[in-house]
Amino acid sequence: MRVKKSWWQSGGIRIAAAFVFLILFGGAASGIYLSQIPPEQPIAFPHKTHVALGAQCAYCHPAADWGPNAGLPSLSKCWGCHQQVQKKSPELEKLAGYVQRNEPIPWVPVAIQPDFVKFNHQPHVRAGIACETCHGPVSQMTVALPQPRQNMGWCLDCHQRMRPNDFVRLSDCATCHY
Amino acid sequence: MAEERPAKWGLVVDLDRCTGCNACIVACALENNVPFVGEDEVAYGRALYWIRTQRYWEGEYPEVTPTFQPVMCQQCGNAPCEPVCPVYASVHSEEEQINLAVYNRCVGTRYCANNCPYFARVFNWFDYELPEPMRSYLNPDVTVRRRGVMEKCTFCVQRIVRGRQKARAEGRELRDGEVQPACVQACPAEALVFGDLSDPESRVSQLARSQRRYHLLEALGTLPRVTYLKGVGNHGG
Amino acid sequence: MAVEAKPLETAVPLPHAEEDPREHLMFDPRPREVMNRMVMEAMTTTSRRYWAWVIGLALVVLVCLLGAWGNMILTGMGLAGIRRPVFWGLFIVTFVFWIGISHAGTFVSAILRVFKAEFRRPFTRAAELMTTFALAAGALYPLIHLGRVWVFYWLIPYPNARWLWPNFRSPLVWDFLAITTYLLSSTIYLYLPLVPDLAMARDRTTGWRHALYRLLALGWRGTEAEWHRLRRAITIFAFAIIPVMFSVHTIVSWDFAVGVVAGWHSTIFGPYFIIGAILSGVAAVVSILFVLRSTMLHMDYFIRKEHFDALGKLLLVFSMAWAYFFFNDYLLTWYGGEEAARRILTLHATGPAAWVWYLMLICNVVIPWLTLWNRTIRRTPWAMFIITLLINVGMYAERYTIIPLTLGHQRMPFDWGVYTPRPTEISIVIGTFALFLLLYLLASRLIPLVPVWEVQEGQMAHTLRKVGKAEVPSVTELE
Repeated sequence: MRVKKSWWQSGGIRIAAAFVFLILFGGAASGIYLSQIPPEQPIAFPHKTHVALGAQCAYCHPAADWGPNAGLPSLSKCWGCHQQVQKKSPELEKLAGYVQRNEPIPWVPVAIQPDFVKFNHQPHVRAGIACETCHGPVSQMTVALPQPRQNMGWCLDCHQRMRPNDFVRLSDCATCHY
Repeated sequence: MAEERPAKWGLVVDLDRCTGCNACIVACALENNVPFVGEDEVAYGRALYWIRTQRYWEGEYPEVTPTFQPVMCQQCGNAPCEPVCPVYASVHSEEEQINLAVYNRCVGTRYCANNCPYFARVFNWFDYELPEPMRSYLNPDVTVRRRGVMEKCTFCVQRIVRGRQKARAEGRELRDGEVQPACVQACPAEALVFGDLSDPESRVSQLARSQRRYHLLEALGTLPRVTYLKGVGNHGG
Repeated sequence: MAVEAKPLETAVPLPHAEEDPREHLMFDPRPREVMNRMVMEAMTTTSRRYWAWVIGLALVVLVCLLGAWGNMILTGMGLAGIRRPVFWGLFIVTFVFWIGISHAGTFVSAILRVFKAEFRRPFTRAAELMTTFALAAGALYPLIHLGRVWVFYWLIPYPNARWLWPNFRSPLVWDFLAITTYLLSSTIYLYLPLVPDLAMARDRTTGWRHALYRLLALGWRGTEAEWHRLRRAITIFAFAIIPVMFSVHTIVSWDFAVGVVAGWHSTIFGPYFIIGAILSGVAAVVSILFVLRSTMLHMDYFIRKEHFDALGKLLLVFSMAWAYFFFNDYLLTWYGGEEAARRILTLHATGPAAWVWYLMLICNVVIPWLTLWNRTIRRTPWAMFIITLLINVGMYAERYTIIPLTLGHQRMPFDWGVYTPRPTEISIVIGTFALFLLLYLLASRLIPLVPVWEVQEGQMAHTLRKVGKAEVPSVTELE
């Protein structure tokens, strides 16, 4: 004798429900994984505005051309322009405050690599890689946003695409890890 | 960019010149953030050295003379440590033609250490914390290893990479002697000479052709990149 | 005479036969239902002493294994006594030991099944359980000995964001694959013949046991078609698992043999390790059978002196085979005269830890050879228990000789060093022994430990026929 099952006991419904759950769960998990929250900065620096005014990346981050770290502008570099350009805004008053107290702005680094990754800007800049390739569309950002999924496969993928003939060399462990 | 000649880094140790001063050990430890493990651990045989001076006594007391032999990773061309690592943490570098120790890949099976006939590899048995002001001594160019990771001499690969990047940015080739590992730089007697073996004119190539040359445990066929020059007995050696 | 090929010494009745053929399980049949009841009773009866052991062992596992291991993960491998140049110590020794023990089940069950050795019938399951649990205990060690166990999954081949694969040239990756295969296949091989017995238990229990056995018995009804498929599956697995078993310990031996370490680099290590594994495994089966027989109800009906006798003969043969391989490995290496290897072998026999080497020879060769030829000793269960425990002590000493004692004295005298185990690793070793015993104790009350259907099948094939005045045992060829 067959016992009448209620609708939620049928296999199809259960499998469908499991699929829906998995899709939602997977979507939520990858959403959390892919969305990275930018850290709180001492001044909400608008990259957008500065790029729109024609400032080059290397004007404020010149060390990218000769060293591993791109560097952050010193207080005097900021103030060099902004003591002339005195637009009223609360963010600029914060800058003025740092200048008055003569203390460096405690910027929070955004594009960071783990300790065991030795990244050097110089070869990348010399090879003509645009900053946006790795740092995203900075010209549309206010504060810099961390880019998701910058993992080892991402580095290798670019090395392979850009320099296929040199990939043996560029996939050497000692390129980044020592 | 011009096609570059891959370098074949090599080291020559002139045993006639080595005085056993151990400056190389200190320089190496400071350059490469090699931790200090404390007296008890050293006494138990857990000292972390990337280069060590093997001292043997020759003769019968009181007619004894010490002989010193600095031993570091021999950077074998046919390295026994490489095939046994299950995760490629011990891997041959195509770029530098040396053996790399990839700390962040190492899972700590210690198989490479057993299989190294020179026992050039050391293991981080614990996390070795430095007291606060001493943390400033750490070299930012070298990863600080944590517990459970193998490490060994890398021929100061950070200096090699940095030197090559600098030369490339200036559009020239590396000059002989431009890149030096810390031990070579610190050796007061110039017993250690480092350079590119693929360049027949480099100082290291010339020395490696000396009649006094030999390799450690040559019969094993490991093809070491470190050449020893036999001491002729003037002062130990 | 064909009868004599079977391990039934009493096939030809002697004029003054000391024993009755009915002393053999196969000639002492009882009705199926009686045997079912006996097995069920053995399974469901627990004494206070049993629970005391379970709780005690669980505490030991918790403190000595999980506690010490957890502490070691948080502090560092340095808590173990290993040091340069002895980078592998008790962990790998015990790993090899457990993998060796795990060969018993497959050997007793699969090889004896394939060769139709009838005495195997009552204890195939007990041996297979040993295989599975010894593997479970042994498979912990590759994890325990990792410096960074939290990234152990890097040994598993899977596509990942780092674009990296494990190094398939490394014996440790072979190890990983071989042990996983063996664990999976031996578990299936344990489970297959268990299904009819689980169904038997299902029909005779109530409550949570009934629910459990109903789930595990997979709806077994005992139809002819089901039996046919089960027998075919068991036959296929019995043949398939034998090469897996050989591969596992061969690959474990390659961990050493492919190395450049003097004293390890030997072509004979594969078969040498397999013989050692079977010797220690069969010895462990005897030890376990003694414990089962003396502690569980009705086990003296199923496990008899004849079984100790038969296993004792096997042990003697394997002890001789082990000695043969040992002789080949040592003598020829020594004779070869490579300086480093020769010095190590001399050191094994004369060095500060020479007692380990002599312990190995005494336990693996002297004791079995002096005792196991004797039928009375072979038929004395407690004597066999002591002998087999000693054989396993000897096999442990063998692995200890091969690993730390060899590593400590390699080619450069400057790097020589001695290794002494420290409390943490000793505690972890004790912990895995407790884990093995605990799993076995629990399983002995959860699954029917005697394959009743296999025993009955054997009993149906064996009969005593009257020829004149004498009773002659006769066997029907099965399958």
